[in-house]
Amino acid sequence: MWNGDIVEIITIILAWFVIGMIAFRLYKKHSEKPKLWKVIIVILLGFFSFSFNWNVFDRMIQVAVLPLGVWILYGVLKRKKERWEKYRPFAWLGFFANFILLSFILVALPINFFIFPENKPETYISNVEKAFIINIHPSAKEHQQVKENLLKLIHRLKQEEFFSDEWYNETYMDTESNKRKERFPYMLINTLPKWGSGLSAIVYIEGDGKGLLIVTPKKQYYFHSDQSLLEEGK
Amino acid sequence: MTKTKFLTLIGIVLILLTAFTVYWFYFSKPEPFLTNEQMVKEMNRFSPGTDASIIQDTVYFDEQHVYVPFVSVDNKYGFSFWEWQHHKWQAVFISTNGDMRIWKINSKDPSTYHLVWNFPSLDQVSYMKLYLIKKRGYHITGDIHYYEPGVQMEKKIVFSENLSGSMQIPNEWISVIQSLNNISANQFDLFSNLLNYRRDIYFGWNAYDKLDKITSLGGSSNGSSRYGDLDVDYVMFIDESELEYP
Repeated sequence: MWNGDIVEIITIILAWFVIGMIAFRLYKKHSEKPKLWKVIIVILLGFFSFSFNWNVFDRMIQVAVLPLGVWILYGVLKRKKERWEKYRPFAWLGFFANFILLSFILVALPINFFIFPENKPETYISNVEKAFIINIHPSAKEHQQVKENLLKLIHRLKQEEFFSDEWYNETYMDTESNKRKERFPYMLINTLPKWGSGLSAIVYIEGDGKGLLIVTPKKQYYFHSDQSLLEEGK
Repeated sequence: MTKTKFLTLIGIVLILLTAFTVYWFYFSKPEPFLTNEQMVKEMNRFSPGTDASIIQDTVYFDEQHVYVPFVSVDNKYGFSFWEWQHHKWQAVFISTNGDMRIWKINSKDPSTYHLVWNFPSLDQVSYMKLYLIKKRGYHITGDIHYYEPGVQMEKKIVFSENLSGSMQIPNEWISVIQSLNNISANQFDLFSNLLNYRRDIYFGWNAYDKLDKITSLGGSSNGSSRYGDLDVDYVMFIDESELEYP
């Protein structure tokens, strides 16, 4: 099933819709009507800019600085003064489209955050119909399976700090390298994140079944419960 | 018939002919596999001096990819990979050393990964184990902690009469590799590229005698292999010291 970032897609469509509206108004006001397809090309070229990346909420955002596209258009069109004047507003609109898009994304980020809270396990695990565990390390017990009410248990998990000194010592210091246990010997496979979140994650389960380590391309989260999520299989 | 009409006709015929040739050359269904004699000839063409004398087996990994273990005239155990390519069965990899390798027919799809081996002798050895391993790791920047669980999965293979074989990697391994790939696939973002998941997952193997002791297979380490742009990797021999026995 398709699972893209729905908020981002809607935002981008809305932003371009607004840009289109502005373009339409400019076009209507213009006494001398340029060709429509040329206007579209000029806007898209004007959009091309030198930008720097800015990291907001672990999201890369591009902030346009230099209107490269506008300069190129000027270079090409300047030979006839009236021609440049005809297209100039659209070229600049293209450049300013960067900022329209940016402001839309800045509004969308908190909305995204609200719909898909990143510190809630159910954002990453919203469907467990086909879920099962795989033992990825010999520290795992045989014949374990996830409990029937897994999803309910997941809703009750609490986020906690992880990889403490204690864990470190347990794993690395107090055991010979040959006898090391894996703290997370199970991988939970075939879970689905919330639809429209565009997220992907690996879910590891702790040896005692009470902890979840969720690994996304950008971050890790550790959630803990008092109850085990696993039980002895039949 | 006017000249224009005639030219149009020629044009259409040319286009059809090209389309047919391209189809025939690239997309046609494979023909039956080669006879042993043809195989030996093709192997010598691909890698002169291979001189296969016994073809041990012919294993289809899929419709267009075939694995053929063989023994050469000078008693070297090796294997070859074949592909239906350009309307021909072609050797694409030959090794006169049967040490374990993995052929990733499509590197992006772990379900096309096949382990292959062809060891010469059977003394002492009763079974072997194949491994999927990823070392555990941690990483701390400021107060952000990052921990990567270690992976150590194994699959036992009991030897029958000979030491040649092949195996698609187990389904569980496929799932684990796919999960890890999913995470790194989105990682075009430089700033958050903390760890490269894909790179540090690897395959290994070792062999055991009847007393469950790791033994070497007295491998035929002298041998050569040849291949073009195939994704074929050596599978490392894993010593006891590299494994964890919790």
